[in-house]
Amino acid sequence: MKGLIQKDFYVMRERIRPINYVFIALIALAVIIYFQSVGAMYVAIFLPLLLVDIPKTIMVYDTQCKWDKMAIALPTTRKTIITSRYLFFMIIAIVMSIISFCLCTVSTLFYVELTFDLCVKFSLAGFALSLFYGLLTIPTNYLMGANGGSFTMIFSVMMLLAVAFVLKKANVDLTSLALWFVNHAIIIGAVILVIMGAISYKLSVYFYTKIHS
Amino acid sequence: MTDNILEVKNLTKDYGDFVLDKLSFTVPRGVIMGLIGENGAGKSTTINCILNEITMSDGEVAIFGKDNISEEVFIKNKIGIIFDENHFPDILTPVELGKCMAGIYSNWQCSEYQNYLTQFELPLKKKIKDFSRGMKVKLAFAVALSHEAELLILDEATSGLDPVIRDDILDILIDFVQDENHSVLFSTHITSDLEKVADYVTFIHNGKLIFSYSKDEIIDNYGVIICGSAIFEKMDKSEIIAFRKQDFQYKALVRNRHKAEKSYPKAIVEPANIDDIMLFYIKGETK
Repeated sequence: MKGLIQKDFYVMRERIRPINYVFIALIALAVIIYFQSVGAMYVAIFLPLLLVDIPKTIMVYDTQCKWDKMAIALPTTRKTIITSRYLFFMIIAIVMSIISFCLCTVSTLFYVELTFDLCVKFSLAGFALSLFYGLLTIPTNYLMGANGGSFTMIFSVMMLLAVAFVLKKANVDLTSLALWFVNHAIIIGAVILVIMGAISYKLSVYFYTKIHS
Repeated sequence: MTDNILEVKNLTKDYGDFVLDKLSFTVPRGVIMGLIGENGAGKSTTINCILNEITMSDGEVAIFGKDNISEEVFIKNKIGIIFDENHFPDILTPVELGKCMAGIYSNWQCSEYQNYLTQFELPLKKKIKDFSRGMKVKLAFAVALSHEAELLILDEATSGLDPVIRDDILDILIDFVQDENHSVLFSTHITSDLEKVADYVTFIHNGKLIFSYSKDEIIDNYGVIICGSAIFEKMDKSEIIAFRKQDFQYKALVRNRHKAEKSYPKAIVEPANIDDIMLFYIKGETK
């Protein structure tokens, strides 16, 4: 397991150029400076999302170099291979959320309206969003290869549109819903992510086993 | 400890248009077994089933006396595998690859791996993608030999290599089986390599097992009769495995060449090599 995760980190290091990280850091700083406290909140939410595409990049590379054939011949099970991929993704999401939280916290020193409490909430929201996107991306990549990411994006947008449509049709008061959601976000998010995580993992194992058997 | 390191019983894999049909053979400890057959005969399918890369339709595979599926991790810790092409991430260096393998194999020997890299003259910090084909195969051997493997499985590992590197690899295999607990399953269609090192040969044709004998038994017994049509017409056809008509002569493969020498003194009887046997089975006529 450790070796599989280590391999993913090596591939990530090689596949994603350092200039990309510099570029992302510069954008984050620019957003914080220009939009001030709102910018810091944006960074806390969206910075982790920028890097959740990394597992997809690695999975595409694995297919190109036919790593999976080798991986199955190694003393691991298909479940372990999938588990290592999820753990790698979790590590990426956690690290990025911590970085975005730190950026937000530092910003509280400059913008008085930005509180530590807000940084915690927005960083958690960013972490939850990145998990949501990643948990959708991983199984779709196992099923559809390189096209999985696009599918996830389209699926996510369609799901949001569908929710908006239903809410509008049902004449739901969006402001009170948003407030209710914010107040219960941590519990709702955690429950949804745990259910999604379990389904996502099961699907990934199923697709991977089906493709490699 | 079982005498056979690998036991394959009634191995069946049905792809619809191709069937690996009830294959049974064993690999004893301390030997090199060659697995031969033309392209598409089922060699790689057999190896993939042994490694549980693909699911068998039927049959059983026991490695080190244990089931290859339920004891997968235990078994694979003691198997070294070398495929026909590089399957390691080619953007890694041998040093990085070693670190990854250390986290995968429970018996990984770092010093052993370093020694093999030095012995094979592989650059430690060069990316695998910049290696020649020969270097990639040697790297695969370095990995395969650095975790106390007892069984090496080579799937067309020597194809496309120059004779010098192939000879180096054959030396590695001979060294490996000096330990009588070690064995090699060597799939190839370069039969000259097998004639140099194999103790046993298993021949698959169209998904069916043709034979699995010791190499000496094959070389000592099989023969090619070269004769004219007059002798050929009088021959007992039950002794002929397959024949080929060439211009004004017939060439026939027989299982017992010593008997053929006595039965047909006017015919030329030559020992058959593995290439001859494969060609007769694949391209020869039987009726």
